[in-house]
Amino acid sequence: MEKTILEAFEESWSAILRNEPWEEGLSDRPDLVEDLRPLLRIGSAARNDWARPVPVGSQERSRARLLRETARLKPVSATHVPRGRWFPRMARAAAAVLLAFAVGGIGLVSASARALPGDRLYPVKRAVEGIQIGLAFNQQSRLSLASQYEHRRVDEIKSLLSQGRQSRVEFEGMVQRISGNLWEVEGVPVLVPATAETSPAIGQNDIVEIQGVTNPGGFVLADVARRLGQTFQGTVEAMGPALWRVGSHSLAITSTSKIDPGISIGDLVSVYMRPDQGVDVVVWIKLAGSPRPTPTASPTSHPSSMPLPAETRAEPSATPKSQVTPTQPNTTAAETEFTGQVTSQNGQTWVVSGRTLHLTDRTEIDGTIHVGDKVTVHGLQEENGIVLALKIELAEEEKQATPTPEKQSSEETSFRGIVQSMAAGVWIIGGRTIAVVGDTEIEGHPGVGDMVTVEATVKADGTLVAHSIQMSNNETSATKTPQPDGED
Amino acid sequence: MLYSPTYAYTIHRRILTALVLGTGMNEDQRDWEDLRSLDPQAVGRVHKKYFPEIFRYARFRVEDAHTAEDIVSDVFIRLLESIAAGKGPDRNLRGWLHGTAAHIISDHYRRAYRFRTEKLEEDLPSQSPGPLGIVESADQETALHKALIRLTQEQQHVIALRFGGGYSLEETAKLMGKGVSAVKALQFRAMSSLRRLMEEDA
Repeated sequence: MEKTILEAFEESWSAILRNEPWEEGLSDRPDLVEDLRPLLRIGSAARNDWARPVPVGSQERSRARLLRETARLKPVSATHVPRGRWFPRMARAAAAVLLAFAVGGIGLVSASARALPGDRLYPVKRAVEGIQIGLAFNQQSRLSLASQYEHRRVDEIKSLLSQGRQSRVEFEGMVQRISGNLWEVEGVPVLVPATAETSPAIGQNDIVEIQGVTNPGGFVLADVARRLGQTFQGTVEAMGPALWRVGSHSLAITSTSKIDPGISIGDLVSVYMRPDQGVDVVVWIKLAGSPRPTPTASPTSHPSSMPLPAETRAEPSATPKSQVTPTQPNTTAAETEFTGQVTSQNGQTWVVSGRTLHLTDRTEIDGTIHVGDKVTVHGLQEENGIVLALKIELAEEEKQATPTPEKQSSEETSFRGIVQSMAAGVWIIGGRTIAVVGDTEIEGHPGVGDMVTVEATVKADGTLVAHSIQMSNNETSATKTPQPDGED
Repeated sequence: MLYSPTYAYTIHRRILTALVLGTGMNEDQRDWEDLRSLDPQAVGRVHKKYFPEIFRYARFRVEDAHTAEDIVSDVFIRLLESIAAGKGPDRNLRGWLHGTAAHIISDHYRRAYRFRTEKLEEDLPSQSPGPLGIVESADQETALHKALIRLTQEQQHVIALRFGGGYSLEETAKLMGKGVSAVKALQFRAMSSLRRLMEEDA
């Protein structure tokens, strides 16, 4: 039976969503092609329109308004549960653990400990963590566990990156460095494209929430970077039971604020605060280790920004060792030299054999280097593992190889797909990650949502480097180039 | 996300419920369960989860981002008020949010038409080259929106969900409380009207 135009439309739209040529599905009803074409273009236009990013600050304003409304509807807010009410909850939590063990077994729970985001057992791991926090005996233990698990989130992401896996992730941490659209958050390189939803004016030492996807290039491609709070140092000017004043900041103290004992007016302290409903709420206040204020807190390899209990904090004498100056290499950085293959080039950040390089204006680059080339790197390795590159040159064997070393271990490929994201140097097209380098020819002005044809080289390590990206014919006529042939 | 006692409790409750009930609750029901407590953390979590989607829906319908933000805030406040009054969605929270957004947008347009109907045409640029010759995406969006707001509310709703939000026919039918065949026919009529209006404007 001949398909109806309604059925043909549905099939064609599904083909577009799958990045497949939709006309091929209409071989039995070619008469419908020209009728459906404008409708499908309208559908694509609607899809592009919907996909525009949410304006920065919009969600935060709405949330603040909603939380004010929540407080109005429920005057006794239950953000912090009184201790006495924990008993029945603990009893229920214990029951849940017993049931989890009974149904899934200890093996399931222990096997989940090694799970990473995207793994089947990962939800079990997170649930077990939640139970462990719930069963903690006091607030300090709970916060300690929470801090420990936040570190674990960062470690999980580093594992995903070292394995070259793509997975959706979400974590919090301190911004340790910002270089263009490449950030370093808790030692994790994060690429924040212009299309990402970001809070305004995020700077070094801010505590941010990152949501994104781990990229085999060794970074997290963020779609959300939201400021949660910030750290700063200042002198204690006033201390009340619920309000302190530190370095001209008025800070609210709550039952969960962690404050070093023995702090008094005039002391120099480090503060981590988070805004909540228009008030800056203290997460922790620590005595600063150094008598002279420095512009940074203490970004160690683990998030010192998290509310660590007193006994687990670094001793004051150890603090200066872990401090870094914001825009300069760590003074404890060690010289390093190694040879490896370039697996990713994103502006000022390259990845060479799994190691992240940070390039500066003074980095000396010998010759033209592409993804896939074998290079020797001279640089300074910082405590967080990132190498500040001083010189990058083609490795000796690469220089002596045939004039076209790329071709030896590469093959060409061509495919069509919809542009899903366009970060600097890295595009995702039809679910595949493509390196877009200086030599890549880009025809037309493709944007997110456009169908394009890609010609690329597949490097030995599987990396795709685009030679050319051009708007596909249908897409070009649909949204970019006016066709005077009058399909209407 | 930092853990909190309330968050931990929520997880225990979910596991317990899922284990006891076997198949467990669906995601919407879990969100709804969390909201009943009017706990700020649960409210913030649900807002975070649904805001981008409902915002995009509202912006698609009204075009202006500030108006869309107000509309989405109203949607969530109505949700809280419903919960506080012991009402609200007993299932399908996402559908409830979309439906409430659609109602608020209808009211918004009713007010707009009442107070400034004669200005609608003048405000919009008319030099757009039309649906088959659109060059600039801004022109394209303008042409699309100019035509979109002249469709019926139901037609706008189905186009927003199907082609903006990328919902399947089945999901759209569920969100709209209609059958799949009805949605299929409704969206086709909507697209055809949209095409005709865009061509007339070109």
